[in-house]
Amino acid sequence: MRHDDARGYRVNTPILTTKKLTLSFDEGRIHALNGVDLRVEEGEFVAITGPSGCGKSSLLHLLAALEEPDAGQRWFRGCAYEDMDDIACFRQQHIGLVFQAFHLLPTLNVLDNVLLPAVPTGRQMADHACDLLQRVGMDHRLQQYPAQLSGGERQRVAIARALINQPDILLADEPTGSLDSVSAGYVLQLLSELRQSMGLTMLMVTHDTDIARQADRQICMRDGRVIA
Amino acid sequence: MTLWMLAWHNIRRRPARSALTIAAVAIGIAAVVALTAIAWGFESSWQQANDARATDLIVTRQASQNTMPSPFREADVRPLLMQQAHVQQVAGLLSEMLSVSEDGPPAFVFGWEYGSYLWQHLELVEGRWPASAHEQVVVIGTLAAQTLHKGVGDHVDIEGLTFPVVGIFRSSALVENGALLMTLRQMQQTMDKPGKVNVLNIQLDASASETDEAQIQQHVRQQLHGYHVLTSGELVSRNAVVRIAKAMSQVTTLIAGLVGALMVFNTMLMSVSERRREIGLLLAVGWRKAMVMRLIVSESVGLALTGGALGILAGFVLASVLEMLPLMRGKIDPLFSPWFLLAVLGLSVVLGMAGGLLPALNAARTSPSQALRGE
Ligand SMILES: Nc1ncnc2c1ncn2[C@@H]1O[C@H](COP(=O)(O)OP(=O)(O)OP(=O)(O)O)[C@@H](O)[C@H]1O
Ligand SMILES: [Mg+2]
Repeated sequence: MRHDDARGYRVNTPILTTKKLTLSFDEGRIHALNGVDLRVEEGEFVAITGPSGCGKSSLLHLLAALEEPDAGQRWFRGCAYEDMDDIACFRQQHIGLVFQAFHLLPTLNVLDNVLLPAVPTGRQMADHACDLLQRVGMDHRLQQYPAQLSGGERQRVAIARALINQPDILLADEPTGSLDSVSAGYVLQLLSELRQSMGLTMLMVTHDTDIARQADRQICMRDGRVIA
Repeated sequence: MTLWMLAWHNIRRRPARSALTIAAVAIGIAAVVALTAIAWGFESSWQQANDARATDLIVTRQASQNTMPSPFREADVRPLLMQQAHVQQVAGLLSEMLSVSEDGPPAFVFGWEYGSYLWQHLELVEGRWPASAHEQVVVIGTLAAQTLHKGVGDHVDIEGLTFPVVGIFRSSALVENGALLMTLRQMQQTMDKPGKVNVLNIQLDASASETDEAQIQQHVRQQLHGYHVLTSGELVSRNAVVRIAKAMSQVTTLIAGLVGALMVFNTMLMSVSERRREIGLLLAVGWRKAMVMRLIVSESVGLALTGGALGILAGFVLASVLEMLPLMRGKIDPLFSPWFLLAVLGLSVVLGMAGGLLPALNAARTSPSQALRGE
């Protein structure tokens, strides 16, 4: 449900909410999430921290609708995920994903990699892609292939790809996990600039406490639960 | 950036594997193209010969399904035929595939009733026609003159007898151009089959309609047991060699289609399992399953269509080479119609789709979460 005040602004409606999310693997032998309650406001930057295997990636995957929970509920702007009639469309329009391993397609050049999420729309997005690549400082490498780029450069291309369909939420799973500290600093700065200028909501999984401190809010997880 | 561009990138990504798959499809399609063109060409060259002779109906022995129907006594049949309304002429014909030189390939030797309408469609290019039904001479087609290296004044040996070549003729039918021709009387003597023919050709008068034709067929059928009365088209399509050629081309089409589809299937299955993570990524960035399936099927159709196009080219070459073989010269004329080539491209698309369907379903079942976690 939307709650609009007199000026038409949406107030008090979180962009993402979850209730008692549980997820297990190996027929219930491995519990990745044990009842996660989460509430993320519009425009918020939330850092998710916690030891390895505590369920951070699992939570992001559930939020991106890449996976179905065993139980529990998820809402996007008040709309339950299970009520969405087109989950692919939801991912495409509202979610941007950034991974530790970049996941660029080696056969495609930088520009085509950025355009990949826009292929199903059939729209001509090359100008927008070039614009984004300029914002991440990669506009001089349009025709190069991922193998020709450094890790930091690859992640900048992956960020441009995540933004091509103008999502509302950026879900980043250890985006600096494979980068040296200089590249990592650059990528983080870039993410925070883009987030502010585009009004994005961002959830970022990180092991780095310095990075986590820059967030509006920190969520700490352990054994599939949010503990703080 | 379009789906087709991405599919093309993926095909080129494994050049050796894609090239092998394309080659396998191309070889199959080439065999289909060559054999089918030859089977149809074979049929059409016989049809041409009958059309050129202006023959309306043909009488042969029932059992015979050979290229050359088995001989029968002309006197048993001719009187009945002559009684039928609209029958203008009945002309006997005895023919055989014979070896006419020591080293050369076998050739058709025709014996045609002297003075009958059969001779009228031939054009004499050199020399003269036989002077009477009894003259022991042959005239030969232009193509036979080339393949046998014979001209007017030379001699050919047929079944132990020597025949001077007195003339060279040209026909609109390829089969006849490659043949040797003598009078029916001479042929009967040479083959030791006096009074026998293997085909009686019937020419109807100009006023005969198709119903008349059918009526004659019915009359003769009722009164003559053990014989066929066929239109020339029916004769050709009943011809055993034409039927074998067609059956072979159909079986080849089936085998080539299956093998091609299996090759494409194998390639796409490997490709999908190698690219599991990429497929997971496509799903994660908002591609629908149907779109992923279209990508995989586009790739398999791209492979098959490239193979099909190359196969058509190779099939042309193959058919031309086969046509030029001494054994085949003058007997077939491969037929390539645009519709046939379109059908072959259609076949390639179908085998590409068939080969890509299961891998595409497999790809669509990818869990993006699992795929993106994988190393
Ligand atoms: N496909 C799977 N099959 C079985 N167990 C899995 C699978 N995926 C994840 N798990 C388990 O689920 C738990 C949570 O995994 P998850 O990847 O969410 O952790 P994480 O917090 O992201 O860890 P890391 O910081 O190492 O990335 C772990 O115990 C993990 O072993
Ligand atoms: Mg993780």
